[in-house]
Amino acid sequence: MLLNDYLKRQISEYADDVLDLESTRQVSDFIESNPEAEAYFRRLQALRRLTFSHLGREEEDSTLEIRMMNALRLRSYDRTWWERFFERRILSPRAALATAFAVFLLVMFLFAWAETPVSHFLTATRAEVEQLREETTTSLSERGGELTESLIELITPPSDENGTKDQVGCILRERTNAV
Amino acid sequence: MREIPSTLLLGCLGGDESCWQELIRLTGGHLQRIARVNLRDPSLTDDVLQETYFKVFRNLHRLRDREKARSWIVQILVNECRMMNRKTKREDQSQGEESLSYVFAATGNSRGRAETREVLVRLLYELPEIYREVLVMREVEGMDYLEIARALRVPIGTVRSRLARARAMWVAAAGEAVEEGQLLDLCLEGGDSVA
Repeated sequence: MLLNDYLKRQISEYADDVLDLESTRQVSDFIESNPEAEAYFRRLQALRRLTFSHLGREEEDSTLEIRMMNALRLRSYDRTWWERFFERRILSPRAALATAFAVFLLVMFLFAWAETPVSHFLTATRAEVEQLREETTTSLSERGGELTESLIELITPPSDENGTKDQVGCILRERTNAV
Repeated sequence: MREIPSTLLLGCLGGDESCWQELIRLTGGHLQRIARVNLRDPSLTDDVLQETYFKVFRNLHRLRDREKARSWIVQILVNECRMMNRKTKREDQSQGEESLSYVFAATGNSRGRAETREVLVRLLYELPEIYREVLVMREVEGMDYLEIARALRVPIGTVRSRLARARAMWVAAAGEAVEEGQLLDLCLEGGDSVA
């Protein structure tokens, strides 16, 4: 009988001792009664022992942490100043927190210090802009009136009576105002 | 790998360099073993470890559950190994040559032991990646199912099934190695031939 995937999985978990009591008993009985299952289990255990004894118990690399720390330091020096700043922030968050707080205080101080002059400047600029706008509006109105009058003079024939001239003037003024 | 004490992680978060050094000392050997077996080119182990620790340094403050620190670090390492394997595979393909060397840094005393290690590594390496990862964590590092599930971000049922499937392939491959006379130690140490 060939072992199917389910049986191999049961044997695998039996080898790791992660089955419940009943399943453990059943698998154990099965292994004892089935030569193929027994052979598979013994091969698996032998291979596990051999692998662990050869690969799982290597001598500790005593220089590993020194090499890693040096490599990481060098790596941070290869970076630009802003990247280093963030590296330092990660390696030393307390210093970074203090720096961030100091920068925040500086910004707040500058803001408080500059608030009055800036407000004053903005108010004065706004008043000036308003004044310029009013002057421009008045000047444009006056200029528009003058142009209208000139136009009336131009398009009305000199021989016409005053009535015609007044009618043309009214129409033009209405159009001008409408525009 | 021993558990990583919370105080050590707090020290690291506080920027204490000696704590970082201790963290590397505690985890380095463990990560080194996993990387060596999972990498196409084991000579890149140091590079992968460096990248792993760099990411740990940068992201430790994001780790919410400190009890999962060990699985979290292994997870980063496994991802780095995958990325490195993809990179070396691309390079091999672009060079048009098969450069799988199965070089394994032998620190054993005898030549026979080193050869056995090489064969064992090759047996593991020849498994598909998803099976190799789970098998290395279990058999080389002795991680339990829950830790493996956390490290690989898969359900625990997936770990169980992958492990069973990996072991079936592994035992079969070892049998072939014994038949070819590459793995005599298994006959001696196991008390029963795999073949």
